[in-house]
Amino acid sequence: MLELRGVIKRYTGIPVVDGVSFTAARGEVTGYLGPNGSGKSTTLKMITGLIEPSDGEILFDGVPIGRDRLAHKQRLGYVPEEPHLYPHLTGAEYLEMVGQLRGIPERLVDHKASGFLRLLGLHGDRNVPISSYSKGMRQKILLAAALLHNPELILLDEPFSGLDVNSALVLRGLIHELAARGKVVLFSSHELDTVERVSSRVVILHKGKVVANDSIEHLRSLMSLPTLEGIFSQLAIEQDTAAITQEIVGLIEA
Amino acid sequence: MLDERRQFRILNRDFLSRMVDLDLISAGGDPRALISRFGAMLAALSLCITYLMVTRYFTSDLPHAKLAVFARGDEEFLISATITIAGLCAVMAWNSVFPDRRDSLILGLIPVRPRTMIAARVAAIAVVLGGVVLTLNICTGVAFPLALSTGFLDAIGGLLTWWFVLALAGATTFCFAIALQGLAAQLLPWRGFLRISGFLQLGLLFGVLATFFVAPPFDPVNAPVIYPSFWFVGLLHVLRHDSVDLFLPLATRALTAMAIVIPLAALVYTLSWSRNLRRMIEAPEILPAKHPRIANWITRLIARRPFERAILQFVSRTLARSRQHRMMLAIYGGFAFALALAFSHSLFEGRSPTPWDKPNPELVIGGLLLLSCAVVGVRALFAVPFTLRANWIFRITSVHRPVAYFAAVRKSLFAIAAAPVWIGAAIVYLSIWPGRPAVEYVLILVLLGIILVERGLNQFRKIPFACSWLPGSTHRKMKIGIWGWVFYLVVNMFAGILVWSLGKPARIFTILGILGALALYSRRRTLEFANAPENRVQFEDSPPAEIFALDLHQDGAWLNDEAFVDTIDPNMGRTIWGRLRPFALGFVALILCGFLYESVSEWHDRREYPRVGQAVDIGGRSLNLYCTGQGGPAVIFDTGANQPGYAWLLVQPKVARLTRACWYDRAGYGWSDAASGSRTSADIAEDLHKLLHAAHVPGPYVLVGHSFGGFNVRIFASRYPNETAGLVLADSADEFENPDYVPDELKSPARKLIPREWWPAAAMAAKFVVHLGILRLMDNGTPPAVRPLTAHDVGSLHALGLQAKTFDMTASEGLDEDQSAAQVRAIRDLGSIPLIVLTAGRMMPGQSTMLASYMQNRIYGSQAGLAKLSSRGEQRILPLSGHGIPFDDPVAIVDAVQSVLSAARSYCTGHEIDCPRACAACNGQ
Repeated sequence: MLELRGVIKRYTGIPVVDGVSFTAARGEVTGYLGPNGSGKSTTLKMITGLIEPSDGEILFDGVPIGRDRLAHKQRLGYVPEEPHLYPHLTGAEYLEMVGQLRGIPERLVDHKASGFLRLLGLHGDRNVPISSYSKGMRQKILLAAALLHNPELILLDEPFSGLDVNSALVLRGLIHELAARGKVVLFSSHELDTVERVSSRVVILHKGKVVANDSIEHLRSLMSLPTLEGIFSQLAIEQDTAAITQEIVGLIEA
Repeated sequence: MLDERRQFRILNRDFLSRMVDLDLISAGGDPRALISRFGAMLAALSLCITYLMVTRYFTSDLPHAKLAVFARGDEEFLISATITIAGLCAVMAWNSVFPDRRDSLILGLIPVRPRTMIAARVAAIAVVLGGVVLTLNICTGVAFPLALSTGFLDAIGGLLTWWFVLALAGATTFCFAIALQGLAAQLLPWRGFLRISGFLQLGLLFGVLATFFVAPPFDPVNAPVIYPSFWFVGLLHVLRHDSVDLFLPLATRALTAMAIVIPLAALVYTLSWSRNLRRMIEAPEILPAKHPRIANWITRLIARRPFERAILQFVSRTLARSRQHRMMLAIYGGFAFALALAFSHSLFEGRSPTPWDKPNPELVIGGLLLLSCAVVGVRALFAVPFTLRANWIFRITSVHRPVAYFAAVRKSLFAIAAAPVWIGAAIVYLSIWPGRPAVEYVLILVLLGIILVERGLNQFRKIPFACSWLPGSTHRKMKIGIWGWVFYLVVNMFAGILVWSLGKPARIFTILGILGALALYSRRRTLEFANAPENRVQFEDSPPAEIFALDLHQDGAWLNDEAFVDTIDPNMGRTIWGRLRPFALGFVALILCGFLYESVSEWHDRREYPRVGQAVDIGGRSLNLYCTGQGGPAVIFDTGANQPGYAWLLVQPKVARLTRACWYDRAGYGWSDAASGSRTSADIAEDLHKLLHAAHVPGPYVLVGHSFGGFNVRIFASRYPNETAGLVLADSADEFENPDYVPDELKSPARKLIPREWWPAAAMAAKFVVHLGILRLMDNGTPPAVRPLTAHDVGSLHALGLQAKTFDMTASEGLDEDQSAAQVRAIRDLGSIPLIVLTAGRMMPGQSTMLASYMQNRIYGSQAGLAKLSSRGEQRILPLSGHGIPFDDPVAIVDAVQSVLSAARSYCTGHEIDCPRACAACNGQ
């Protein structure tokens, strides 16, 4: 189980993550929602250990992740929001490098990497540099790299970004399956439909604070709203979207 | 409505800023700052050249015609420099001159006519190239033509012509680069062109540098045809109507080159805008990678563990595929190449004193340069980040201890930088040099490479290319200047030492031992650092600890555990003794090895060259004496400083036919024991007296003393007059010599360099190091035998001269030389004993006036004065002999001995009462 207790992250004194507490249990898919700049990616990076929290605690299976970072990283799979990859490496080389860095035996790396590439539709482009990949192709590489070593804790930040319909369907099913096999899956996305279908629980973040942390069913009944979009709009959106739309059109036609 | 002029201006501004390959500048770097610095450097260079080269033309008294001829070499140099700089510009702007993907993807969407884009690009190229040529020649371009002009109009004409030729030379060079690249792009498939483009760029870089450094001195008549700078010198003179017939062939070449290159460049450049833009969009910029099996096999061989292979492959792929890193590596390689060419110039022209197929400084320096630049260059590149944002994958996957990553980085540096140089050096040097020196040199390169790698990775905690880089943190610009000079001096000196040592086992083993110890020490230090418990792999470059403590960073910019990175004590908290201990132990080991080396060598020499003579105990120690022949008076030979008695081997046998002849080894020399205490001539004379009596050699004696031996025999004669039948002084030292008046050519290095009051301390130190074998280490081996000496004779003399005890005694005699001179000076006369003074009279051709004057004074002054010590004294000047009379003219000594013997015997006859004791011996009984 992943547990965050009062996690705070400040930048120049301003908390971007302010007292976030929630748990993500094994066998569950936890959706992590919030508008842009609400602190979602920052939270995920703190869980990976890429950034240090200003305060609070992050535990996995009851053990603070800072106690043994090497062990934590061995169990962790992470797909970042932005697909920063080494452009001069090919897809196959990148996966091979990640597998080797994790200490996976050579033959197993070859087997897994070629399997991922084939199943994700990248086999024909496996020897093409990543600089030539489309956004969706890079996302698939990130996904493969995150799952290569059979992690226990899977963090996905906007995993559906750039994916075509087919790949999105595969990923959706994959998330379910991974959770069913006892992994802890925490993923953040702006695609509320997908979150609603995939997640069993959601945590909604607004201005760094948790404004909702419950199962989707319970939230629906609590707020008497039929969809997650409605719940999200109620809790996390402050702008008049219709007015903004009109203003943009006005600028274009100016 | 399109405003083409406005579009042209905007595009031109953009292209100008992109003329410098932005990949060469670090992230956040400012191209304008780089250009400004580059321009300032060129202008400073121009000023220096003006001061060093041009000012002498203004101050020269030579007529103008001669001056103009003299200036041709400088003209060639300045034009060559312009061509080189233009070529380097072309290399730097290789990827910016032609349209690229950005142009096609961005500008292709905006309504800009191709002719506007082409014009803007060409204008940008012209501005940059013109700016570079102008800056480089900003001082010389004005001063040089003015210095050679004869009037106002001539000056104007000279200036215009000069700048015109410079512009043409620069433009032709740049167009050549464009034509080269453009032709390759047009003729080859796009992917093929992408493959070779990098190699063409490097080839151009090396070609430009090679042409500059290898070009011979300018000669219009015999000029080699391949040097473009020569062509443009010809063109310059033809345009000036100066010796047109002489320079016309060269000028024709220049015009031909321009006629081919410039239109060709224009053609391929225009074609590139129409053909290549489309190809670019459809094809990737970087080629798809292949997976050569041999590369994978080599990787597995070098790196056993998977994550080591990951690091090694990441490093090699990045170096091969990152344009920025490749170009920087080429700059290091170009630097090494240029320096190697500069050093080996004379070798290629056949002017080197050492042939190329034997160890020579030029090729030794080449190997050292390549190794140093390879390791230093690759190591420097490790710190240059590449796609920094992508380094999160290394952070996420850092599941091993830091020491494992450091080991992987170390292996990568060995595999990529050092190993290729080692392999190449082994192939090259084993092919061209004899086996042993080649193997020795390759071993030295191996150890040097280990030291360079270990020191280079000291304090390096990064995964290559995956850590940020704070600007200015390395003080690189300052360090390059200082360390560049140090590097130049060290490489020069070290190459000289290596050439001197290769093929000489003792020297090479010493060098290998020192390098091996340094390599082990370096390895130990890096291991200690890597295994430090608080160490971490570093992904963010942090400021020094003093700045870090101010806590100026944004929250979370550094992880808490990374904050300790800079606080690791490089000396691991050791005390001063702890830090010095490895060096002290190494020093002690070196001393022990030295003692062992000297002892074993002397033992070997004793076996190789057994005693000649017999050991005679003179009370507590023995002296060696060798006697042959029958009769009397016995002739006793005493040698000069640092010479064993065996040095009389060309004289003593001949004298032994006349009478009993004996040579002996003074204390410490030859096969005699050393003595303690003072070693004045009086001490030596007393030793000799004891020796002769202990050996039962009956007196009286005819004493023969060479050089310092002359002092000793004179003391003997004055102390034991009844035992002295006669004296022969062979170019003896004289007590009247004022050291201040002795020419430097005749002084030993010690006397020249060391103040007199430091001699005792210097002698003590010298004795110590000689006992460590330093004399043998510096020795060049047994000289070849010259008849009548045999190889064994020469070997014996050589081996006896290398003994540590001999150096001790020579030093002691030298320190007591003043006392010895005072003792000898106190002897006013030697009565009427037969005395012959042999004086070396050979004058060396070309010797200095001071030396000639000294020799004259010596021959006809002090040496002549020695003959007056006896009423029966005589001087014989030997015009063909130098100071080493026993080897140069042994017959003269034998004749002198014969004369003294006759005089002594004939005097005894009828003077039995006056004859020094045992007249029977005088008479040969």
